[in-house]
Amino acid sequence: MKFFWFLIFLAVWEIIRISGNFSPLIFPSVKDVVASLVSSSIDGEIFFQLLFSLFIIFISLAAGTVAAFILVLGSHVSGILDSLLKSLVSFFHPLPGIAILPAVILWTGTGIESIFIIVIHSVLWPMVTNLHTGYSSIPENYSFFRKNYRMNHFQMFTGITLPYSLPYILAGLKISFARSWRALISAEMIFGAAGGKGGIGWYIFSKRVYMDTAGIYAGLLVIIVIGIVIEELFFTCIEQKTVRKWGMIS
Amino acid sequence: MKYRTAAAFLLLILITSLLSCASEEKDKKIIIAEQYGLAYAPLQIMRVEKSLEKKLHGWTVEWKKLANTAAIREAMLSDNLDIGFMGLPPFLIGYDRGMEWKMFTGLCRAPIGLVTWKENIRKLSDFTENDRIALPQPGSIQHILLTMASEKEIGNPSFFDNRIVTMSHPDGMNALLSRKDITAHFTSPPFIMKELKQPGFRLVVSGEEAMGGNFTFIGGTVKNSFAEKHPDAVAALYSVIKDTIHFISTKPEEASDILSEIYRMDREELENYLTWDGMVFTQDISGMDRFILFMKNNSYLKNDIREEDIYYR
Amino acid sequence: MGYDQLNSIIRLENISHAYGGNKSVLSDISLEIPEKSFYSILGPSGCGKSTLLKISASMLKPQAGHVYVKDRIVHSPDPERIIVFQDDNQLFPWMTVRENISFPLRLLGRSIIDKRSEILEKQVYLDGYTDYYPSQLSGGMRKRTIIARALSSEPEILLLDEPFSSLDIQTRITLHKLIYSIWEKTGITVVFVTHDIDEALTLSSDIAVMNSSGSFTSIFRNSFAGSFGEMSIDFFTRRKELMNMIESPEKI
Repeated sequence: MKFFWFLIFLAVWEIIRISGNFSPLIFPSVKDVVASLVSSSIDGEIFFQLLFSLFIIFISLAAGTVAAFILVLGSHVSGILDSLLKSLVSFFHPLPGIAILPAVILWTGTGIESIFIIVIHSVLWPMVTNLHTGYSSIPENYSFFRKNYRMNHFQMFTGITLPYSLPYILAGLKISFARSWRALISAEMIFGAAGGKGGIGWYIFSKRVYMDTAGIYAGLLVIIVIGIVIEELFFTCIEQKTVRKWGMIS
Repeated sequence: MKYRTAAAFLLLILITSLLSCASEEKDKKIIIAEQYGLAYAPLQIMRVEKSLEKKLHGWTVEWKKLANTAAIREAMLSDNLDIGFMGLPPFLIGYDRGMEWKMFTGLCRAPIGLVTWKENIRKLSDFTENDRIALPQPGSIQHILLTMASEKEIGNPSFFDNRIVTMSHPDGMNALLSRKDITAHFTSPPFIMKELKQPGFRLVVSGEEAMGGNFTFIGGTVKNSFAEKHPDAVAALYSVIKDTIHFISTKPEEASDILSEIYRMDREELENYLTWDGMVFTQDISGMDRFILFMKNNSYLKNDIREEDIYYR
Repeated sequence: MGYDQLNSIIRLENISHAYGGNKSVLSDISLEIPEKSFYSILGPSGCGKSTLLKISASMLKPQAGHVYVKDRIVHSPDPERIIVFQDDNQLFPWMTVRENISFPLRLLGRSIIDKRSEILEKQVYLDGYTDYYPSQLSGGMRKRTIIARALSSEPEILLLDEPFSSLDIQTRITLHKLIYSIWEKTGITVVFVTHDIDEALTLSSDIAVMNSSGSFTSIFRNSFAGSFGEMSIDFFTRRKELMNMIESPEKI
């Protein structure tokens, strides 16, 4: 279905281009876009940029999830922590990652640390919100079970809390990925080559400054494909194998 | 059925989009874009003094200040701009990629260069892996001059490509003054003067050293379609620029009065910068041949560009 | 019946408990539950029988009074008194039938896990469903999994809080027979909370009737235990008596 619409889109694109009303610098041919994609793939440029971006996202997702868990567990131990965390979430959750960029540059400069801060910021708050919801909805019956068998905190966490929270973790990861991916691309377009390698946002930006329009569209295409692969294939696959199979979500 | 409706819908979008661009005639209106910095001083004077309006009766003149050359090119492509002022390399890149535009005037030569705050950086080879250089964007005149210099000194033009942070001149200056990870800034007046006034800040390499001679910093480009339709307007603009440059060089105090307000700078300071060694407002274009040669050799340009083709006369 | 009535396994002494405010749920309740009995606490909804069960499992701390197990005072839950509720969500959806059943064994660090789980699965007729997830099972099968899991650690006492009330009548009868035969075979003590008179009469060795104000009106040994489908005149007479007892509560 998606593929069908994609073909329609390509057809409309080509018709507009052939109509000749636009400069090829605005509407390059599909062929040129593909050619640019192929040449960038062959010299590995787009690959490395992409790997770099995904590497940052992956690290940040992992760090953000662990941090969110610690915060949420902490907030269930202490009332003060709980109210602090709730306030922090309401302060920071509405802040788009890219909006804090100027402030982050002031603290840490324009290095890779800044990118990490922005991406982790994009990951952390949705994750905390989701985990908090998950943690608070653990059925009372589970706590009777825990008391009955005198489970310790570790057993409870690994045996019950973690698997029970999985649907919430996955939902959190999905939102976090979407947010962090967008934040990262924006940050890369502003920062340039932080840490020596640019990332896919920088790829598009450098295509822009060298007026390689086909390259811009090639970069966009790659972002779309990554989005589909991660959001639809990767997450759907994990869901099928876990929470959907277990009937925890329908 | 669903498919057919959708296809019809898309067709509708297509037709309306084609129609809308065929129309919209904008007669007797000229839109001019410039950027940040003292190099654009003649344009600033023209803008506030309405010199062009006085010459082009019945015309509307619209000025835009855009953040970088990419934005100028894009505005021109989308038909929102007729005239743009920029460094020579971005003009050449656009021309090379098929932009239908020509350079119709030079605007100035200027002392530009790479400034650092770091004590141990005396030459380009002193930069380490962790040093970052701020400049407006890859492909800008600052970037091309940096690659020229690094080819000369280090033997590798793309040596700094992964250590560049793109920043507008004001942002770059602030980053440099904060003495953090941005260790150097390739910049132009008045930012370069302000930075060099800071204790310990020094010039690593100047534009002229990089280039091996003097060169035009900023030139004016006109879109071919506009120039064909309104050659008189382009001629008028050219002569107004000529008059304004003459005004600045003959009456720098008066010019400084006007400009100090626009640039929000002290009058004395501004006049000092305006008459700085190497700050020359002129319509003559120099250095184009060397830019073409270097950029072609290093694949910034794909086509062979002949200098005589790129000027509007 | 196969137990010695002289020994009590759970003794509740002067239990009083109220939720939140003034309205007293339980006041000064004492009860002795004989070892190896199938002991039903029968009462209308809201009478406090579930509260009493939670207190018996030490899942709830009474505001006054003490709970004794084999004459030892207890304060906290332990794996010898497993409590089971009505809801299906006691099972862990991410675990298969086998994993759910064996989970207590792992937690308690037992050495024989798979063998024991297999026996339990056979006992509750789930041996063909070892690798099924709870969401793939019917309501009755889930109940059987819950019972098997509760039995896995071989507790001395099983505390059941209206475990079958959400099931259809056919499934309920099947489970009645199952729990009854397990009780007969294992000699476990079952404390069974219900509002269903037929259920209490069919299954229990002893019945304690609670009225809606939370006190016992009658405690007696039941002679109809295990009388599935043999509903005699006596059964109906008894049923009528109990119904009156539950429906006309003493006014305070």
